[in-house]
Amino acid sequence: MKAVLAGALVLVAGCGGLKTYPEDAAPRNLTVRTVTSGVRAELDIHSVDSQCRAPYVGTVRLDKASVAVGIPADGWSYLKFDFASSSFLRGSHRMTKETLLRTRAGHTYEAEVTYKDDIYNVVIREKPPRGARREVPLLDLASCSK
Amino acid sequence: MQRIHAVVLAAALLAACVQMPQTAEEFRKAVPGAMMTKTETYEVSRGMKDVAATFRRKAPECLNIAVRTVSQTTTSYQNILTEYKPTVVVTAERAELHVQQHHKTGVIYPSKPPEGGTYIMVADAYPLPGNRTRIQLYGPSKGYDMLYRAIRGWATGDNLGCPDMTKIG
Repeated sequence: MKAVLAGALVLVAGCGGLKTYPEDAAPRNLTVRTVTSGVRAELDIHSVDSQCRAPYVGTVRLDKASVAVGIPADGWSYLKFDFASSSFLRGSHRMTKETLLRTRAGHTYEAEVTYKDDIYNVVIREKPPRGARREVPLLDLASCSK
Repeated sequence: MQRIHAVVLAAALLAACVQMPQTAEEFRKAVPGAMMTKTETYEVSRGMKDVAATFRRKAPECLNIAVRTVSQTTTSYQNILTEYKPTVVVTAERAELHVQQHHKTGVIYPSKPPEGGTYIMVADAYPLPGNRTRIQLYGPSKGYDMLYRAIRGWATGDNLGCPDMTKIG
C-alpha cells in the first residue's frame, strides 16, 4: 500500500519527539498558506539523501494563515503535512499527506493546505524566476529512486 | 468510539445475515435492499471523460491508505488496522469507482470477504448530453459522509481534496 499514512489513535496523543524546524535552514523559498477548521496542522520536513533515506529535520506549526520556510535548494526534501484532531468521544486522530519535493535554486514554492468538513488537500506550486507558476505533482517516497 | 464499534458491529451483522457481495456488480444489486445502505444520484456539469480522469487521479492518491484505530479503556484494548483499496474502471458506457475496505486486524469476518476487502461504495458516472454526467452512488447510509462529499467534489471538479478516513464511523 503506497500511500498516505493515516492513523486514528484513540487515547494516544503521540506528540512527543517533535523539534522545531530550524529557521536558518535555508533562504525562505516555500510559503505555506493554511486554511483549516477543527484540526491542528503541522509540516514535518525530512531531508532526502542519495539512498532515498529521509531523516526527520524538524516541524513547522501551521498555525498562521501564511508561514515562510527555507528548504535547501537543488535537492529532494520529503514533506509531511499533518492534520491532527482530538475530542473526548472520538479520541485523537491524525491524517497525513506526504510528498517528495525537488527544490530548484532561484525558484519559489507555494503550498496551499486546507482541511474543511473532513476533506483535506495539499497543492504545491512552483514559480520560476520568470514565467508562470505550475502545479507540482505529489510524489511518494518510492519515486525518489526512479 | 461508540460509533466505531457500531460500524464494525453492523458490518459483521450484515455479513452474517447475507452472503457478502463478491463483486462491484453484486454490491450494486445488494444495496437497494440492504440495511443501513443508500443510493444517491445527481448530475454534474462536466463530461464523463473529465470525471473519469479525476477519479483515476484522486482515487489512488486519496483512498489507497491504511488507518489504524487504537482504543483503550480500563477494561478493554482494541487495535484495528483497516486498509482501503480503490479501483477505477472506465468503459465507453461509464466510469466506475469502487472502494473496498479490509480490516487486517481486530475484526472477524463471518464469511469470506472478496479479494481486496468488502465493498463499501461504488460510484458510477454515466455520460449525459450537453457535456454533463450523472453520478450514481451505492454505499452506507451513515458514517461515510466525508467519502460521499469527496466523490462529489471530484465529480464536479470543485474540490479535489481527500476524505479524512479516520473520521469514518
